[in-house]
Amino acid sequence: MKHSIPLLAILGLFAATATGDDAADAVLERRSFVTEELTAAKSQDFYLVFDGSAPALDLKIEGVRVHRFALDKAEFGQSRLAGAGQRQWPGVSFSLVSEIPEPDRPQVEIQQADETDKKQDESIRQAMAKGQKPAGELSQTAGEKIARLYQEDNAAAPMTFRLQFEPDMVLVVRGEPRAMDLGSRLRRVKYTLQEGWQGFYLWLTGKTVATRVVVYLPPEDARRLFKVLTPEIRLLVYAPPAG
Amino acid sequence: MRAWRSASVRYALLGVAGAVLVALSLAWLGGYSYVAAADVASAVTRDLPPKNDLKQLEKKMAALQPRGVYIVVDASQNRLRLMKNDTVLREAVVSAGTGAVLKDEKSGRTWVFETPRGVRVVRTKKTNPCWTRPDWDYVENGEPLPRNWRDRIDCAALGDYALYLGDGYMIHGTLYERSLGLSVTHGCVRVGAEDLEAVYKAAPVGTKVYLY
Repeated sequence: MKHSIPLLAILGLFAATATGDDAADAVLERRSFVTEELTAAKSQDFYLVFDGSAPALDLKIEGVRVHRFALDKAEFGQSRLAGAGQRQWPGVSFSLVSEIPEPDRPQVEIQQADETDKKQDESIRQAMAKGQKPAGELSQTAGEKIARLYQEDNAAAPMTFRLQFEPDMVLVVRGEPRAMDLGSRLRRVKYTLQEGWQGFYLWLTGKTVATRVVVYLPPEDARRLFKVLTPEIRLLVYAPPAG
Repeated sequence: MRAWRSASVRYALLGVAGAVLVALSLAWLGGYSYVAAADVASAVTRDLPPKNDLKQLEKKMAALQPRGVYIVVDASQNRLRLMKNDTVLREAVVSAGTGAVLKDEKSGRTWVFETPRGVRVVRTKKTNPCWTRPDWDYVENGEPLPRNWRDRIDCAALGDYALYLGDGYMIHGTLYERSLGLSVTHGCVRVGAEDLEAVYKAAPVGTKVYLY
């Protein structure tokens, strides 16, 4: 009993030191992140913030979150061959180096409305502007005629893609339905095999196998994420201390 | 002969199985070992200058947040959100730019009808606004350019209110409410009458508008 008091005191001292170290680390981590975010926010460009604990990817500008992509799952991967060692992010701020393709821009067809249609449109417009019920409908505008093309372009955006960042890190976005069907499962197996063979080839040829993050989200959200990417967009990693 | 055949089939099958095994092993070996991203330690920059005091930094970040209401426009989904402190006060179905290109063969001029991405500010506001039809509107409609600028004035197109964002871009009303939710505009954000009135009343000049 008489030995237990100094023993408890020593243990308490250790615990206090450990807690103190954790708190200091938490402040350093937060400071590193906020420093980077402040730089990104002042750039007036869009940037992404990855929050692994949510998990979510936030689209932000000037420090304001304009959209949150809620993730179903986020995984951090290291190459087995390169020796998966310390589980630590390779940085706080990353810059996109993958090229973002220019969107397909449909061409507006010049309208060839006849005089009768124009006159009818004009009288409808006047009636609507006065708050009266118009007799008939306005003709279809050039914009309305091509609106479908914009939706088609959105639907054609990829739902699975790989983004290379600098410092060396890869973000793999996988748009997968929450209820996985056989097709989705097979695609995942195909992807895992390809990833493995690619990693093996890189190791064989002496190239660096970058750390990667794989995020899973519904296909529609993955397409939307692809559409909001801008060249060299920054990705900040917010990793709050566990617990 | 039969025995030889069955032996070759057996060897061939063994070969295929071996190749598959090797391929799978290589894929596993070259693959990644994954953990939940939440369990990964953050990268810490320890050599930051002393001016990067956490409290000061967080104060600077907080200062960037808009005071009062602000507007967020999701151009790809044709949605407008009136916000205050991360809270959505109102969400409206709107129409944003088509992203299309108009080419005028005669003059060689080209216009891209895209809603600009980034941050803008409500510069001025008007009730019963009139629109000065730009050249592209005449080109698009196959009409000759008017000689007199007064002939360009159209007081019906913009609805009851307009919030001017600079460079000719506006948040305004529309005669084409049937197209709300579709990307049909030349870059402006068209809003239905009821939502527009609410936005107009809530957003003073100087309100930040975030478009993405």
